[in-house]
Amino acid sequence: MKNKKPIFYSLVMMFLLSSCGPKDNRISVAIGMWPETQQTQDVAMFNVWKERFESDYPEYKIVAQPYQYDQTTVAANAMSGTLPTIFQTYFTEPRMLIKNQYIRAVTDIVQELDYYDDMEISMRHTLEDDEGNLYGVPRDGYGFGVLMNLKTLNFYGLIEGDYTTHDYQLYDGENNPLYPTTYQELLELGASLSEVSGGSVNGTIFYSANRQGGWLLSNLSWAFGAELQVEETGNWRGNLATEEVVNTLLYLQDLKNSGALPQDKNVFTYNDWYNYIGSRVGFVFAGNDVIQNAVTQAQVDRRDLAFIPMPEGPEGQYSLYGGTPFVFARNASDNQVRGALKFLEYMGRSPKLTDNSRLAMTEGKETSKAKNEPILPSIRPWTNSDYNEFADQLDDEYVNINMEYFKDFYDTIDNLKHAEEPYFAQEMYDLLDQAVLESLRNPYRSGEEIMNQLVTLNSQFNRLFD
Amino acid sequence: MQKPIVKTHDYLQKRRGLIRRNISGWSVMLPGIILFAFFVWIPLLSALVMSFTETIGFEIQGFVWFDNFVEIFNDVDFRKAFQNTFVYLGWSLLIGFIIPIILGLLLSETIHFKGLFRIGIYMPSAIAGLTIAILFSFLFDPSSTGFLNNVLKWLGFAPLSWLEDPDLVIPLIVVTMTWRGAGATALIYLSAFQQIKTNYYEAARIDGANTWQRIFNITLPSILPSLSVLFVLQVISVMQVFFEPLVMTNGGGADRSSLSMLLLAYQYAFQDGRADLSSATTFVLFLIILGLSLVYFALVAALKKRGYKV
Repeated sequence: MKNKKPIFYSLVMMFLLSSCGPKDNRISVAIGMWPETQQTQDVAMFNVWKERFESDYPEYKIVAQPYQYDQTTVAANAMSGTLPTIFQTYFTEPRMLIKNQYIRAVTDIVQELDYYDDMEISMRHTLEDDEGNLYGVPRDGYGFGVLMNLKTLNFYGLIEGDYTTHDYQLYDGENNPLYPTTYQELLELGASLSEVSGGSVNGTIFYSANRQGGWLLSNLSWAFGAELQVEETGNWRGNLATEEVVNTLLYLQDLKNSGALPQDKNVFTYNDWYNYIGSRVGFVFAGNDVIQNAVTQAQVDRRDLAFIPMPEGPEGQYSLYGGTPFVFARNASDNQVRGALKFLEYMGRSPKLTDNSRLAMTEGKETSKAKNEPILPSIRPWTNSDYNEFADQLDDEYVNINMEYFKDFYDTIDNLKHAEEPYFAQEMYDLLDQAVLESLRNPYRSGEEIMNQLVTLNSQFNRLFD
Repeated sequence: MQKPIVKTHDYLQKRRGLIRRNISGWSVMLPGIILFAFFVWIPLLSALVMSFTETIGFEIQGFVWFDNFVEIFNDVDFRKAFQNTFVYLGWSLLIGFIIPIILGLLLSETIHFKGLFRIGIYMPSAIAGLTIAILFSFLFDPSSTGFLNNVLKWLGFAPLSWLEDPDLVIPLIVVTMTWRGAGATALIYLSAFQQIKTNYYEAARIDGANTWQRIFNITLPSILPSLSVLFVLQVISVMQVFFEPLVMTNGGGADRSSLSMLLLAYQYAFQDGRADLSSATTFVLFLIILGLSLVYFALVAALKKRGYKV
């Protein structure tokens, strides 16, 4: 038998040597909003930011961990400790994430870095729990409006102008808007479009599934005077079964009956809007943060888009408003959170206006320009004037849509903004989805029938408060 | 006093011999047992424990005993899902149980291209269930551009709402599930049909039995063991319908008309963050399946007593 000892000792030596080498004692910060590998231009930009940050803060190591937030997997990721240190989520999610302890509070560190007081106050409230602990920082603001395909509307003679030159008339000689400013006008425009197109193009679609029907309905209901949650003797209660909500649903039924909505299909989700805005509807309800999808997904020419404020209802005019947040994994240490928040400065996403943040903000715009993406103004998450002035300056230089078709939205959003309902919003949307879908399926039901359904839904909802 | 010691000694010797003799068998089984315990028994027991506790996320906070069960039985969605699950079962027995028998019968009677037909009907089973659910969602698209609505239009009929119609949604989902699963089940029936001795049929023909009499008096009694096993598997499988309603009806459909218990359990856990309610729901589902299985075994025992070959 041959002596196998030399082979054995060589293997042991190799193993020991391979485990030697310089040990990395840096604090690792996993960045969830890191772009996917195929987004090469964005990845290159993030690598530059990483290099700058690690050179200024050698104690930190930035780790790319692209993470797409998903409600169905976040629990497993949180429980197994595999969430990135910092990641982006939807503005409707923080309450659920806080309640289930999937994310951690960062109040002290945000205050320590002087970000706290610069945060837009209504966005900050959406990221706090009932005790005022802060669980994230906003990336940017978000507001609901109506996105119009001007080419479609012009083609059917409903908007003046010439789609061949992308020149449209949205205002009269006295600068009064020619676009719909009330829900009734919006209905009439939608109905006219269906009529003149012979039903091949509808006015719009109304979301009715995945909690997005309730989400949109809540925005409309405020304009009809609804208060969906009220405080009674110190306790909050659901208030879904009211005349105002009935009127909102009757309006929805009018939309359907007038032909403004598709007659043959009732189930739509928020993702459907960019499947329809290309050539199947004239306008959609959408948030300003996703408008670029009309260009990137639906191939609408950016010169043919207009984004107008949410219309006025009988009891007011409101736009659902929030912030797209960055939140932090529950197992992230204070040092990791500190590193992640500092890295935001190198991404141009913190309120600190430094050479690095100026550079990053400019590079962000340049990358979008190189990718030929529509560049829109954003709703600012920070209130400090130096940051906002520089952001305005960049907008003036880089925005590549016709601001005449967007300006009313951005000019009015501060006055129209309305945060989502404070408690169990997702559960409320889920219940309201049922009311929306029933109104779309059965658009001739009476106010009494609607009220009966709302009473049942409200009692279901109120069990959450008990 | 000596005798028992000798006995114990012998027993231990025998036992050691037994283990030594079977060590290879245990080694082969061990990975399977570990995996089975990890993926089945431990989650099953965790869910059972969790159903009696309050959770934050998936972390147990304390025992609440039957509170979760009270809560789910008071939930309109649970009651709807409970009811729907039995509607699924009914339609599945009507569509999904009978079609494979007919397919198996037709295959056994086929003379030409038997192999081709066998592959053809088995093919859908090789496609991922999710893909099939998405495919059928396109077929059942209620808009004017939907495939089946275009066929109806071409035939001069009015379009249907398909999956948006609360009365149609469950049968359509069962059709989708049957399309996928019927082929594989039909092949099991085919094998059962082929094991029936031909001289039974020859004797029946000589006695003047027609086709129906041959089916009811020879074919069906002969395949009764396969029928009964596949029946119970069908019941267990359809009680656990999950991704078809999730994908095809955006998680429950109009008026929660396609919501199943397993889908609701998923929604409790991953949309509402209520792992406790989710566990309670799956535990109730487990009890229902257990109950139905016990009824089935009691029936089989009763049939056996009467001399049936089950």
